[in-house]
Amino acid sequence: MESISVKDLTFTYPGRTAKALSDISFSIEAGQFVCLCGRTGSGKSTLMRSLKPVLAPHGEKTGSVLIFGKDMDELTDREGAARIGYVMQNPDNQIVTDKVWHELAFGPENIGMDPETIRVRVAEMATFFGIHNWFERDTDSLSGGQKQMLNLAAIMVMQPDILLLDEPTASLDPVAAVDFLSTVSRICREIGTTIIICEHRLDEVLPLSDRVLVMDEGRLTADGSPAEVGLSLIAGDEPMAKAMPAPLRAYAGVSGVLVSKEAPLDVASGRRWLMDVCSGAEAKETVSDAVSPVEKKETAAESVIEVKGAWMRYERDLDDVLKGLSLTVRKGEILALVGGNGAGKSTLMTLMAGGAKPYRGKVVRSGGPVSMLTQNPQLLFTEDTLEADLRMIATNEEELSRVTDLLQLAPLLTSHPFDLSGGEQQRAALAKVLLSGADVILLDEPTKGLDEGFKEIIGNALRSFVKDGGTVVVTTHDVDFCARTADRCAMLFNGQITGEGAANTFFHGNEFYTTAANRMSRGILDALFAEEIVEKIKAMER
Amino acid sequence: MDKAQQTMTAEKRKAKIRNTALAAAGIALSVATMMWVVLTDIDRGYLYGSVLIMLFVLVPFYISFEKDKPYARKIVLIAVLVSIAVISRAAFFWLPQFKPIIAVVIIAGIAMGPQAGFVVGSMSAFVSNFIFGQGPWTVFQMVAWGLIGMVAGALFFGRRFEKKKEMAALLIYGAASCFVFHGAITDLWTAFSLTDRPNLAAILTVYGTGLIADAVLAAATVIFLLLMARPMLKKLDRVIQKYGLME
Amino acid sequence: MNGSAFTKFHPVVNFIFFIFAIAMTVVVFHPAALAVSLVMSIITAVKFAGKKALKYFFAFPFVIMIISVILNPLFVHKGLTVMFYLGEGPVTVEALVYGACTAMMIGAVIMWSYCYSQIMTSDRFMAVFGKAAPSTSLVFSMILRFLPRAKSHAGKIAAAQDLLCAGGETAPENRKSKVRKGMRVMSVLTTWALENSIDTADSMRARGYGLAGRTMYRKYAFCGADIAAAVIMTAIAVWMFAEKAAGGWMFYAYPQIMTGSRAEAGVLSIAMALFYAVPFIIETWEDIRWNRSVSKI
Repeated sequence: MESISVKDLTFTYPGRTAKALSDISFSIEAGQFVCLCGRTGSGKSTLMRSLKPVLAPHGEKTGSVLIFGKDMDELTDREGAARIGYVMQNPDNQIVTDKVWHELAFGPENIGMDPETIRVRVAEMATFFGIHNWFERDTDSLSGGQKQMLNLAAIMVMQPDILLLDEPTASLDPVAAVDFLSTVSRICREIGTTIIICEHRLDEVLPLSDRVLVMDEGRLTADGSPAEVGLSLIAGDEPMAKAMPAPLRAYAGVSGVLVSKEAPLDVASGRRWLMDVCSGAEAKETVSDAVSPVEKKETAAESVIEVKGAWMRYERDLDDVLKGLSLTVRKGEILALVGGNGAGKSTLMTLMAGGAKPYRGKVVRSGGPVSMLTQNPQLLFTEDTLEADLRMIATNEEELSRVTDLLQLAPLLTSHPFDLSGGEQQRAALAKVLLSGADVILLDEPTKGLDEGFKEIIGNALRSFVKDGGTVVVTTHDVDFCARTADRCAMLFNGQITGEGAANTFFHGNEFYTTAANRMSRGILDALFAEEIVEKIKAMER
Repeated sequence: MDKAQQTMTAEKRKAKIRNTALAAAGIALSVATMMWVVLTDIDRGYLYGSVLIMLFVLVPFYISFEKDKPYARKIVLIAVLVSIAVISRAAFFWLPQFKPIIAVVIIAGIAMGPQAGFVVGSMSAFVSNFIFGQGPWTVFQMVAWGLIGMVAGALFFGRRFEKKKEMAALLIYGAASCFVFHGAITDLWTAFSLTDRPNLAAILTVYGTGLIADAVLAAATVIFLLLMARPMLKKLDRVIQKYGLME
Repeated sequence: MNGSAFTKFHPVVNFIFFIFAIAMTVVVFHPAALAVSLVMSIITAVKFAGKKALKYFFAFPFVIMIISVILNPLFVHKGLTVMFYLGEGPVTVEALVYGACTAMMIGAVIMWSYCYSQIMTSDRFMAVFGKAAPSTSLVFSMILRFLPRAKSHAGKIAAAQDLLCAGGETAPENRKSKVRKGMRVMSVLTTWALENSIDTADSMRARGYGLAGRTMYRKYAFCGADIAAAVIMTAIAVWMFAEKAAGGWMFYAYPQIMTGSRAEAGVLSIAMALFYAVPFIIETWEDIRWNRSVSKI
């Protein structure tokens, strides 16, 4: 049975000429797990919203959407609410009430379920999601991951047939994101709900998906199994190719060699494939051969910020967040701080920026003005248009136009900052930091929830800032971004630096905290990126 | 479409009749209570009477709010505005009485109309007193601030204060409301519970001691209205317009 | 006050208690009754909130009480027993006693309100008003959801703005710059709150808010103990109001202090104390039972 069937759907927003969706047709079997991907602005969100009655955007629409054979416009409000669930990006905004139990009961109350049924459903879902332990708590006291899990559960209590998820993990940390996605996959397998999910974390989502739809400029450009679609995107050098999982990209690069094998989507299958390819080949090069030029630069440059034995806690009775931490930031480098949640990264950044003082130890800033960008870009926008906002901080016109060009903000200048997408807001906030005239900039999670294209823009901007004599410290969960952009990495754990080194040697030394390509090729080829694997295999063949 | 519109206007008309009836009932009961208090000689009748009148103002408003079955956007906006008002009261904790809260309530009334203005005002009083202390004054304060929001909505709903004259009228209203509504009504309970029969000297003392505080609040309201009214209304307009595209 | 024994009763029972407690204090207005109410309100507040309740009492209601004891005899010159003259006006014992009574009434009402705000958390409030006023109680719940979030966001805005521009080295603050900064934070906060509220409204509508026939999930069920407590409390309260109407709680301050028979007032006061002691007894009973079950282990 087809749960969703879209025929020739075309949509234009009022007052615009360009079509947001054009001639989209597809149909989805009940119980399928479908991943919808595409660059920012490709029309994914518009399509997702068009599948949910009350959220469908107003505008000029042709074509049809059938939900279990019934035209969407003919669904009753009650059916539209109960049978199609919709999870949005921001976990906080979606929570309506102040208690976890009340949030779970909210949907069933609205659709008029009787209290006894609500009681049963709520208990069932709370147990399924592992929420029963925080059932009585205030919603405000939950972590981001728990909040998003609650949003999902609050929809599942209505027992929808179809679940639409619009970038649900964009603001979660990697551990919470994986947790969330595996729950979604469980819902699909164990309850049989049809899933359509928009995601940037394709590394995690593709292996879970039965099917992938790709959108570009309002059109559906590809539709098929993850491996099929991925290979065709890479072959066609489409913009989305870079977002495909590293094992698949490596495979595609050399697929002439071993086409018979099934295309790998995750690290485990990638490793198996690579072992097959390399079996019989001569011993690999060792890492230590490659002496990095960065290492030399590191010892030579003067320090701009020095943290010496810093101890830090937020309140007298709380645990220490930093425990005698020492770190030196050197002029002209991009230093990446990595580590799990609660390792103290943000605290260390605030300390380096001068926003807090350690109760023991000290912080010496000797490299000129410091500016720090906190995690949420929305904290910074004060004006009605982006241009006015940037002018507040820019010292001169030249700077302004240079930075807007660098971050590709020119077409957005007249927009209201809150009308920008998450990635655009992040770029705009970065522009504010670059315009602040600081020599040292500290960026807390600048790549959170961004697609590959935006990450590249931000990486390039940081490179050019460093070339002009600036220094960058950045925290990120994105190992790939780190490996590509940073000169040096430092790992935080439990309030201390547990390891630091030049980016390439640093990741080669890590077992888990490293790129997918590295995990896949560890002990076989020891590469950091998919391209590197491809090169090495090609070199081996010669 | 026509039919839908017709039923909508019919519903609106019904709501209007209902709300007028509720208001009339509230006023009639209040007047009756007043007469009863003045004409009879019950021990502490003024205290009882004033509490009753407060309830006769509050209850009809909330009944009409409930019966109107507010949209999601209205509910959300009210919740957000009350939160902002409460936070603004807490944010300037280091300046006693110099709070933007009355200004926020007035702006809410202007943007969303008299009924929502009343709800925002009275809810702000109720919720912020969880921080600043609940007591018998809460009921009086709820009415006082509710009326501030309601009258602001009745006088200025839809205005955007581009002209100096309009702005001046708003500022005068802001200052006056701090004395007429906030000062006079909130302190009623003190004046009536201190003595068995209201006596002029006691009332004057109660209001006299409150006068300075009310004047500071009035000054704060004028300043914050001057600084905040236009930008905040602009923000509200933008969001209401954005909502409009959705619903 | 989660986990206290009194909150294990149905919220309607809690609510009935507070409404009667405050109403009896105001209506009965007899020195003995007022003293009982005041003392019990303080004891109950301490039982629920600990030492900070005492701090609150002395910082706020106590001050108002003293003022009211002093003010009444200064302004009201009724009464026959003159203590002394202040200027032209006689200061009488009757006015002083009356002032003390109002003082006790104000103190007790404030302290009962304090207990109320300790016990009636939002979900208990919803359980009482949810059915009669669904929209209002939903707004209340949403405010309590949004307030802590907005508060912590305000702090983050201030910090983020500092870190961005001055590199954390903030200039020494005076009142003017503090007000200006407060205004900026409020402005960013307002934009953020309003803009993000669209998502919340979407989330409500996506989950069917606004459909006809909304039901209420009942987290609390009415059980035998609830009915018993409600009946006992209502019975005592009705008895007290009836006695007041019939003259059992007779008390006139002017022109001369006049009360009914002491025996009658004594009996009534004990009954009233019993009412006010309900939460305290329930709490203490639970403590004893708990200790006994622990000692058995």
